[in-house]
Amino acid sequence: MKTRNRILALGVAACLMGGSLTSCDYLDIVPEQSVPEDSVDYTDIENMYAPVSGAYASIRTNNMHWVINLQTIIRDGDVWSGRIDDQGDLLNINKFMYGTFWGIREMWNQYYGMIKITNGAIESLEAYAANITNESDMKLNRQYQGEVRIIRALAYYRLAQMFGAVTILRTNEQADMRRSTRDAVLRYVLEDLQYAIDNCPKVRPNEMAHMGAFTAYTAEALAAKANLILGNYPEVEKLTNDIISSQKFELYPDFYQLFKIPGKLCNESLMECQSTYFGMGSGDAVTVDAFFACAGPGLTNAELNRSFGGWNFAGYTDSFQNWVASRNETIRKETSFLLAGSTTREGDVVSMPGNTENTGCWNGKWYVPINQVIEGREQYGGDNNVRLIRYAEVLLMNAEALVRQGKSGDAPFNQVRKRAAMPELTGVTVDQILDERRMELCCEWGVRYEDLLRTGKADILEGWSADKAYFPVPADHQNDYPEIKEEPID
Amino acid sequence: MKRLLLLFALVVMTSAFAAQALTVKGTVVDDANEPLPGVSIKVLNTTHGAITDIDGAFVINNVEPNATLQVSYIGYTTIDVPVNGRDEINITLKEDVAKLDEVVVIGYGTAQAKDLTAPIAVIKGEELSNIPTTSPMAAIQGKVPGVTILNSGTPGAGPKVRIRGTGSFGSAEPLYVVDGMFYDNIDFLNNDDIQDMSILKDASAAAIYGVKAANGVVIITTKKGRHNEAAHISYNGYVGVQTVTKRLKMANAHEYATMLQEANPTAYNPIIENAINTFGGNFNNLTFGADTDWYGELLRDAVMTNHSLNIAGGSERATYSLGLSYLYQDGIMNTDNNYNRLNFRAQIDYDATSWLKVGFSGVFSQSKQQLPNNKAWEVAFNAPQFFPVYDDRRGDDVFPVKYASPDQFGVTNNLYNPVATANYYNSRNNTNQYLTNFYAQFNLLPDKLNFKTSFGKDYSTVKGRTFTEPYYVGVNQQATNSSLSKTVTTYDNWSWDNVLTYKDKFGKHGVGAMVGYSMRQDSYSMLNGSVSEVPTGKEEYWYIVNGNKETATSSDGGSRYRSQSVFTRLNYDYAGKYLVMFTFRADGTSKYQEKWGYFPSIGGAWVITSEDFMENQKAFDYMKLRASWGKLGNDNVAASDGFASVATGLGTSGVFGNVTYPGFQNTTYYSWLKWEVVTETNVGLQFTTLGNRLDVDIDWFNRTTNNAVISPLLPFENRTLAGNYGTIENMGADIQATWSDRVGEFKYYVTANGSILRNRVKSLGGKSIIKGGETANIVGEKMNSFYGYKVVGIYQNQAQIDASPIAKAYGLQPGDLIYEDVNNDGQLNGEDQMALGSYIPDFTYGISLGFSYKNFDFSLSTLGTVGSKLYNRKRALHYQSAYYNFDHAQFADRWHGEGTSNTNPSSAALMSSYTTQNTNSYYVESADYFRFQNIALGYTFKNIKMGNYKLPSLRMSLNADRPFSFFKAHSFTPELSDAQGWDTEVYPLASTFTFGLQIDF
Repeated sequence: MKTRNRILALGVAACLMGGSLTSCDYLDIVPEQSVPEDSVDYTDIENMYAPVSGAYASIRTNNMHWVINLQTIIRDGDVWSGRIDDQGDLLNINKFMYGTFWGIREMWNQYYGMIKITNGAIESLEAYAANITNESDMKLNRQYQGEVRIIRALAYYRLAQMFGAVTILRTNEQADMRRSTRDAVLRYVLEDLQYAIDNCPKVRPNEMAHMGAFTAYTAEALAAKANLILGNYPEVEKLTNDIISSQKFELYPDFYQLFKIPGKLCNESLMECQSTYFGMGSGDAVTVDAFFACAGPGLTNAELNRSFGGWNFAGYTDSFQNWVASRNETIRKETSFLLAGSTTREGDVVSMPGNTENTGCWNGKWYVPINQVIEGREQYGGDNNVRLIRYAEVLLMNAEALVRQGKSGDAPFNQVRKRAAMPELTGVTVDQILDERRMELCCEWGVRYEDLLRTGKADILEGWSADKAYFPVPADHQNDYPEIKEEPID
Repeated sequence: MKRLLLLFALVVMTSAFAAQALTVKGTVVDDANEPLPGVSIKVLNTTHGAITDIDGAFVINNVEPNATLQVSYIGYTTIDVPVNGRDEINITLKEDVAKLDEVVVIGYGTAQAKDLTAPIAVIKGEELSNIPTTSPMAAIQGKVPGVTILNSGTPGAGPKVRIRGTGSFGSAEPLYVVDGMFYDNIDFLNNDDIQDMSILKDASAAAIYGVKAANGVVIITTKKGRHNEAAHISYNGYVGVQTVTKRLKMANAHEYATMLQEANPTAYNPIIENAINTFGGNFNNLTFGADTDWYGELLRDAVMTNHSLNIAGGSERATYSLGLSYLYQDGIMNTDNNYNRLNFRAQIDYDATSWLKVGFSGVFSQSKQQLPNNKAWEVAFNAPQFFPVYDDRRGDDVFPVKYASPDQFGVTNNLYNPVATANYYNSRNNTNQYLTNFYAQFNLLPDKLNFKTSFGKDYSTVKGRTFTEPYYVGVNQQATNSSLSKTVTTYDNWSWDNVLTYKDKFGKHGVGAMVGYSMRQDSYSMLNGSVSEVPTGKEEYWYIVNGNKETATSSDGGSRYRSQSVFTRLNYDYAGKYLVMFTFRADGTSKYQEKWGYFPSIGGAWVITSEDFMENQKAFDYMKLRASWGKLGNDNVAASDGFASVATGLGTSGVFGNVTYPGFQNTTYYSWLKWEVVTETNVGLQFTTLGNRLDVDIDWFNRTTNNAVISPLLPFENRTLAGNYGTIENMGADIQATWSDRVGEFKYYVTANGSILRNRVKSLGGKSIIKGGETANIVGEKMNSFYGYKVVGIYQNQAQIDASPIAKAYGLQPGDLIYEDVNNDGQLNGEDQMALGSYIPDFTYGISLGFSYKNFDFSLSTLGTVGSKLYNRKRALHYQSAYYNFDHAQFADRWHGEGTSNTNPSSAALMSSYTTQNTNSYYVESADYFRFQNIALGYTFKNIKMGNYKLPSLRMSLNADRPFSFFKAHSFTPELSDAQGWDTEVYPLASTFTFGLQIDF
């Protein structure tokens, strides 16, 4: 009896252990939640735009980091960092003392983030291409690759603009981090853009099926900007002429509203970074985050009982304000300057900063009136788009290219003057064009500093010297990749 | 069936047989002749026995005249007493200073302390029950050398626990095993639920838990009843008040304004004038109408109370234990924040037959945690004192409460009203946790071979809810719409363990063997929904369906891991003199691509005092030398999918007009991780000397973590990619010495413990430094070291500035910090940065003492750390805004003219980015502290007559937890919630003073 029970028990034990040990596939389970990359169905051509859309997102998430924006515009003598109580290193950057500001590394990394995303998107598009069987899909694939290349070109263009010589990452796995010269980087930019010019539709962005997507003209405009830095004026003329002669673009008549919600994706727009609240007062928001707010004052509208907070960075210097006043600017002055204590057309009261010692004038181009932001959204700038390249810049580049080659640039030049209600000029000179660019494009992507640099006039800036023309390669990267300190490859 | 009937008959007829056998009576006393209640007396080889009552008396029926009684009691040497036909036996037990006879819970079994080859610390439930903490682990602070506890002040928040240093860049929390189930923490248990806690410190003990054991193992046994014990009902409770241990003194309005004026009068006078114009005061002598002590507004004294009721007992065949406890802790932040927890516990063991034992244990724990907004501590540090909490003059746009705002003196950025920050916050977690364990044990050969199969299930849900009401304080401190977010998190884990245990003795050879097989599955799932525009008012309205549906969003997530393990332990001893133990565990896990890991360990001990040649010496009563080696795994490492995944969602989608096109970004990097492996060697010596009065226990250890997971940055990215790149070494020694003695009725003890630790990063897979967000890991330095410039002085005058190329490059002024230019190249760069210390201490120590005299008992314990550094992030945050306030010491110690200070910068320097944006040693402070950890005084009434009823015992006590702390850091506490030692948003620790009552019914 006793023995039998023990045998029984032992048997049970043996069965339990034996039985469970045999289930050896017990550990082979698929991880929860993660979707493998190879599960992307590259035969499903319908979804071929997904990686392109992902690349567009990187403009918003990477290029629009507020600290990049500030570092881009504060070196031209016209814009002051705006605050003495916060981000004090920006005050030093105003005087070309770069130090070890965190924003330098942030800027570098954000653009390489964009480059890796676009490199990945091109790989994905090539994977789709391998499954395409008809020519119309193939054409679409090339168009999409063109769009992604414009985004990649934008990242490299911006890197060259800010850092001069930088590393070209031809693949995401590249181990050699040696830099290429600024001109070599710009040539790489032009290669990408040529592909886009050849393969993207010749329409306005607001005519695209994907509203606001980049076109062959976007590529031509960016290529013109790159050629302008390289001093390749005939090429600038050719590219800008192609845009102008298409007669698809026009200056938006209302300069004030051009930068606000009504001017989103207007016919002047060649490149825009888009945002949306989906027309809703709450819920999902896909915006440029603090891009506008970082350079905004506080706004209060008593009638609407609403107020926005801004971070108060980036103010126009007194000297620039005086220069604008001396030109008798009207519409561009009102649009560009947001004065502390003033009340805007829309009844928004601009807050006074804690002290007005250095500036009380913010960038009005990033101001969106409270009544243009759907109720419930209290972010300064709302869901406005960021204008990256406008037709006005194309006209001014065209004018400069013509004048530099001994031709008249009056026609394109005066189109811009006319919209700004400024008297037309005849026989315009390069200097007049540079002044016009300084006014028309103030606070737009560092155009002014670049103009000073390429025309050899940067030495008028306090603290500037040739060795400080560009931001230094971030110190961490110099430590981690010693080859980055080597002479750049041309 | 026949057997059962027979057994039943045996039980019923016990009295009938009594005539043939003896009824043995007696008392058990200690060596001072004091009666010992609760002593277990077992008739060997039977199930009979008894437990002594309050007077130490016992009665056992039906004892064979030639039987032997085994008498055991915690803390006393177990003895065997032959009955020899006596019917009255009085027994004296000797105190066991070295606790050699103590039964210690080890993994998948128990052992007697004298048979251990590994250092295992045992904490008894009684040591925890009166310490006012929400988590049992918090109560063991300072009690065990080599176990470091970092407490948090947040109500209901559990402590951080480190056993023998930090051996992982990721989670270094130990594994908790509660009645066989694995846990990440034991915050759901009441201190009074615990019978005992075993802390397995070295690899040879912990290796039986394999891939989860690298950070040490804490085994918890919940309370159990004892055979042959009458129902023992007890109440244990305390009520008390908590008050902040130390208040950080801030600069007042006048001092703050003085600092601003010294820094830059033109820049900052407008703010000072605005404040005076708005809130009153006088600009000429810098007096202010408002001078709000923000920490004074944010702190309060708060209540804490705990009540628990336990019933335990047992018959010959069954034991049981039931418990109920309730704990409430109010937060010392002056807003709605608190924690309460209700626990039910039950445990039953039943000897169904002579060969089958079955049992169940269960804990149900229900808690509610109303969370504080710890951001308010930081905001209060930053806010100048010259504005009031409330301002009734403000317009109706300020609602629902008329808080004052920094907007009123013209600062809209970075400054907030701290009281509003604390109050406009409503977040809570409701947790329900069920822990159950069923087992059946088959005694195949009585006392020699048994098989135990047990199934454990742990199910818990955490319901989180965060609600924000609409409010307006200032342009940057407002919420236009209400918002509601709800998260339900569920953990559903089970385990099935099968263990075959054999032990036997052949002459002087003792052998033991254990073989086991275990399966488990851990699942986690999370579902979150949030919405805006929910009606405010009653919380009953706060449902997602009541919000604006267009704004509703949801997300979810989950994971499931399985494991399968085989393990064994073999031990052999010769005459109790030489002991050898070998363990091995093979762990298979679905978490990693490399599925199986193998974890062996071996340990040996030599009881020197058992040798013949030691027989005639008197110096040592007991001496044991032990050594062990083993390997452990740490699977607290993120699982790797083993494939690249694509990122999707709104963040990776482009906007085209007013719509997005669903986009993806392919991340071509992916991690391929495996668990971390710790190899540990331990050598220990334990001896008792001076007539069993001094017990000393010393262990030396070296634990090296290989394959430590660390995440270097990807090239040119802010993203990191984890890899098994690191090697970390923790080497040190744990020492504990206890002296205990008695003089008449005066019993006392003094214990000193110390733990030395040398923590070093040995390698980083080829790199010499990997920087993280807060600290850096550098080969040859302590883990998580602060990394930056070393301050070697203050620029005192213009001549010094003119002579320094660095000062010129950065535009410095007298009063600025001088950073050491290590390579003397006249520039500040990476080569000038160095490790500036780490939060990991070099030495921790504690001294505790206690005595009992007649009905009084007293205990006192202290705790200290040496060699730990913290980073005063509160001060460093000045980079965010020059308008931030200063602490009082920054004002009092500042440089304000040549010769005034060579260590503390001027006010202008405190605001400059050269100071605030470069990590430097000015912000690194000593985190060393010395603290009176606990002082308790008790008085026990015994045998109180209440009519016909005699209440056995009632103890009243006064307990002061953390009454005094001493430290230099400019902090509320050097015990930080941040594991890397950043002092920011830290909820201050409280001193708790309680009155306690323990009643045995």
